[in-house]
Amino acid sequence: MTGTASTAAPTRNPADVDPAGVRWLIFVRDRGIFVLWVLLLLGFSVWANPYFASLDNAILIANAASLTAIFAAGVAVGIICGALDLSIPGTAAFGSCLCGVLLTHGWPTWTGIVAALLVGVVVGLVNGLIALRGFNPIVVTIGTLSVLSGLAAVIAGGYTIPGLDALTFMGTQRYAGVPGPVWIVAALFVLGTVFLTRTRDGIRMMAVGGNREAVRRSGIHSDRYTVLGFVISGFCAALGGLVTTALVTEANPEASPGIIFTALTAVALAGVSLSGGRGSLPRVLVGALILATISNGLTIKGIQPYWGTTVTGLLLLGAIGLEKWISATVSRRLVTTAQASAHTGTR
Amino acid sequence: MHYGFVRALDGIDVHVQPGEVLGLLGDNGAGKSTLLKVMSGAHRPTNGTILVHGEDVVFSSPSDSTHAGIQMVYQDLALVDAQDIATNLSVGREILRKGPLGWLGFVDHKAQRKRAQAELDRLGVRTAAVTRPVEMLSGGQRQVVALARSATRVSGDRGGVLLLDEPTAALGYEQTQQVQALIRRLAGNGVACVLVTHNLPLAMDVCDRLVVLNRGRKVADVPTAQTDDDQLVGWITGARPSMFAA
Amino acid sequence: MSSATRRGRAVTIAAVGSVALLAACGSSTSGTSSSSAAGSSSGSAAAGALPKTLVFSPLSLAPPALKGLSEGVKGYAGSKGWQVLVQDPNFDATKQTQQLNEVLDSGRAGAAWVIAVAPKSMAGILKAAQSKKIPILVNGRPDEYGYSGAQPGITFDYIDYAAGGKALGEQMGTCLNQKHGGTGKVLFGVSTPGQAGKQEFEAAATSALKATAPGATVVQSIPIADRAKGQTDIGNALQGTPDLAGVMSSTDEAALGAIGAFAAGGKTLACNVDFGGNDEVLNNVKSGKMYASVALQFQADMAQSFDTLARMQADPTAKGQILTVPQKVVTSNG
Repeated sequence: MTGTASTAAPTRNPADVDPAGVRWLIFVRDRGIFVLWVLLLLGFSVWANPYFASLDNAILIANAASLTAIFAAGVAVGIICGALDLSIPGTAAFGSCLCGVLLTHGWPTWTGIVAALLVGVVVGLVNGLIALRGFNPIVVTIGTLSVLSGLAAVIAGGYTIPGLDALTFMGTQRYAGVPGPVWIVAALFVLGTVFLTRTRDGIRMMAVGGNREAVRRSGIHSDRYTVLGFVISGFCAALGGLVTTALVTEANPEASPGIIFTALTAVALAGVSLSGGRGSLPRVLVGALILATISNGLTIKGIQPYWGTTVTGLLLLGAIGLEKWISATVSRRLVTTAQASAHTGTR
Repeated sequence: MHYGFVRALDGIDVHVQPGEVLGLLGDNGAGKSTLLKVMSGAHRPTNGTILVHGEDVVFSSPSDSTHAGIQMVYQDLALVDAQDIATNLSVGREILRKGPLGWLGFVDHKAQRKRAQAELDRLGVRTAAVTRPVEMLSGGQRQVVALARSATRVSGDRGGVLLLDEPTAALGYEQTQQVQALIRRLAGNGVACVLVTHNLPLAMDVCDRLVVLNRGRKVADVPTAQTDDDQLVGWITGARPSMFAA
Repeated sequence: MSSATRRGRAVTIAAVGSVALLAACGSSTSGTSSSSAAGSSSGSAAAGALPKTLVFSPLSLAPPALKGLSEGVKGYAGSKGWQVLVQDPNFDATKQTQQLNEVLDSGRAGAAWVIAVAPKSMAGILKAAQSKKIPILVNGRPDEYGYSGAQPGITFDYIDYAAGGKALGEQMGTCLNQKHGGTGKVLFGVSTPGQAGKQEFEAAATSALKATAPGATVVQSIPIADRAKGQTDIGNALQGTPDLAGVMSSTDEAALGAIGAFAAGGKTLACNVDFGGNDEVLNNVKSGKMYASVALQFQADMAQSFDTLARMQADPTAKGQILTVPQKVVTSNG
C-alpha cells in the first residue's frame, strides 16, 4: 500500500506535527462556538439596530443567560462524569421552597440559602449512592425528581411563596452595574473550570466520566468521583432554584421540566459529548449565552419566541452534524499521518 | 476457579521469577485470560493461593494487587480517551503544585508532562507529543502508552510483575517490534512479565519460559529454548499429551 | 384534559384564600334560601321533598384550591342549614359518573354541584338528575355539555372570557387616557395556546382597547407561561421598545413578571393591567404598582351557585340559569 509516505527523511518527527488542516479543524471544533456567538452578536447588532448593541441589552442578555447557565453547569458536570441528572428541576423547586418557607417564618436569610444549597448536596449524594448500586442514573434521577416535586408541593402548601424580597440581593440588584446573577455565574464557571482542568480531583472526575474502569484500575476509588459529580450537579440545581426565586421574589413548587431542556440544549450546543469524559465549561456558558442572545434578538424584533426555539433547534442539529464531520475528518487525516510515521523514524 | 458451572481453571500451578518473561499459551477458552485476571486481582479464585515474593496474599480488588507491585495491561487498554498522554500516565500519581495551591489540589501540569516524557524516553519509546489526546493516537501508539503506563507503575520494592493480555493483537510489524523491545528492557530491569498471547513467533522471541493451558489445565511448562513450534501447537490443540501425568 | 376541565381548574385553583375565609365565617353570609323551610336534613326520600343535602363533586380534592373550595361550600351551605356530601373522583371521569350515579339513585342528594372531569361524558348524569328532579349545577358553557341553551333543572356556570377581555381592554384604554394622553405602545402578555377562552378573550381585549383609546397600539403579543421566563421575555421586549407605555396581561404571572422586568430595566410602567386577581396582584393594585385588575370573584360565585341550586330545588322543572363567575374591576380606588 502506498501512502503519502514518500517525503524525504524529515528532520522533525512527523508524529509531533499535526497534518495540514487537522489543526484548523480542531480549532473549529473546540472554539467554533465562540466564533458562532460573535457572529450572532454582529448579526443581531446590524439587524436589530439600534436596540441590540447597547450596554443595557448586553446586561439583559447576560442576566437571561445566567439562569440557563447555572442549570447547564449542573447538567454538564453530570454528563461529563457519566450521568445525566434529570432531578435538577425537582431540586431547584424543593430547595427554593424550603428557603421560602424558612424566610417567611422569620429565619435569617442566610439560613434559607444554606438550607437550599444543602438540599442540593444531599440530593446529589442520594442520587450518586443509588446510582452506584448499578441502577441507571437516568431512571434514578427521574425517581428523585418525582419525590422532590411532591415534597416541594407539600412544604409550600400547594402554592407559590411570594414576597421573598430578602433575596433581591442575588436577584435584581446590581453591583458595579452588573446584576447579581451574572456575578454568581461568573464565579461558578471560573471555579468550575479551574476545578475540572487544574485540580487533581477535577481531572480524576473527568477521567472517571471518560473511562471508569481505567481510573479504577489505576487504583483510584472511582465511586467517590461519580458521587461527587452528582453532588455538584445537585448543588448547581439548588443554586439555580435560588437565583430564579431571587429574580422573581417568589418560590414556585412546580418543578418545570423546561429547565432541563434549555440546559441540555446549551450543553449540547457546547459539544459536550453525552458519553461523558469530555467537555468544557466555558463553552457551556457560551451555549447558554447563545440561547439568550437568539431569544433576546428575536423578541426585540417583535418575532414570536417560537421562532427562537426553532432557530436554536436548527443550530443544535447543525452543531452536532458539524462535530461529527470534524471528528471523522480528523481521524481520517491522522490515520494517514500515523502510517507515514510507521515507515519513517521509529526506533 | 469456576465461572458458574464451568471450571475455568483447574489445578493450575504457575510461578514466575523476577526478570523472567513467561508466556501463557493456549487456545480460546483454555483459561489464559482467566488466569491472568486471577493474578491481577480482578477475579477471586474459588480456592488456591497466590504468593507474591513468597508471601501469601489475597486480592479483593485490582488496587490490592497494585499495592503488591502487580500491574496489568488489558486488551481494551483502559485509557482515558479525552485526556492527553501525560494525564493518562499520571492518573493516580498526580504531581501537585508546591505551596498552598498544592494543598487545594492543584496539579502541576508542566511537571507531569516532563515526567511523562522522561518516562517514555527511559523506556526507549517514541510516540506522539505528550500533550496529544489519546483518542487521536493510532492503535499502535495507544498500545505503547498503555504499556508505558503500566511499566512506570510496576515497581514495588523488589521489582514488580507485569501482566500483559494480548499486547500485540492489534499491532503491525513495526509496533510489535517496539513492544517486544520494551518487554525485554523491562525484564532486564528485574520486572517479571507474564504474557498471554496467540502469537507463537512473538512468544518464542520474547519469552524465557512457556506455559501451555488446555481446557483449564496446565499441559506444559518448559523453557523456550527446549521446545519448538510443533510441540507447542501440539500442546495447544491437545494433540500432544500433557507433560504432566494425569 | 378538555378546555372546560382546565377552565374548571382555573376557576377553582385561584379561589382558596377567599373561600377558606368563608368557611371560617360561614354564618355571616346573606342571600336568600327559598327552599322549603324547617331545614330538616333527613336523608330518606320523603314523598315530594328533596333532602337539603348538596353533593359537591370537584375534579379532585388534591389541589389545595379545590380542597379549600369544598371547605368553603361546607361552611356556606351549613350556615343555610344544608348538609354537604363531598366526593373525590381524583381526576377520573368514570369514577365521577359512578359516584354521582350512586348518590343520585340513593335519594340522598337534594342538589348537585359538579366540576366535571370530562364534560362530554356527563350527559347521563345530567339526564338522571333531571329525571329525578334533582337540581344540578355544572361548571362550563351549555355547548360543552352538548346543549344549546338553558335547560330545565340544570344551571351552567362559566367564566365569561369575552367579558373579561373587554374589561381588560377598557381598563388599559382608560389608564392610557388618564396617564399617557390616550396614546402609547402596549404589550399584550397572552396565555399559552390551549388555554380556555383564549381567542375570544384576546379579540375582546384588543377591540375594547381600540374603542377606549384609539391612539394606542398593541405592538407585541408574547405568550407567557411562567413568571421567570415572562420576566425575561418582557425585559427583552422592553429593550426593543424602550417607550413601552402599557402591559396588559391575560394572567397574573405575566403582570407580575412585567413589574419585575421594568424594575430590572430601571424604567417605570405607566399602565399595568391584568386578568386574574390573585392576592399578590390585588396588593399591587392597592399600593399603586398596578393600575387595575379584572378580578374573578370566586367567593361571590360560590354563594351564587349555592343559592341558585337551593332555589332550583323548589321548582326543578323550571329552566335553570346560565351564570357567569362575577368579575370585578379592582383599581387603586377600591
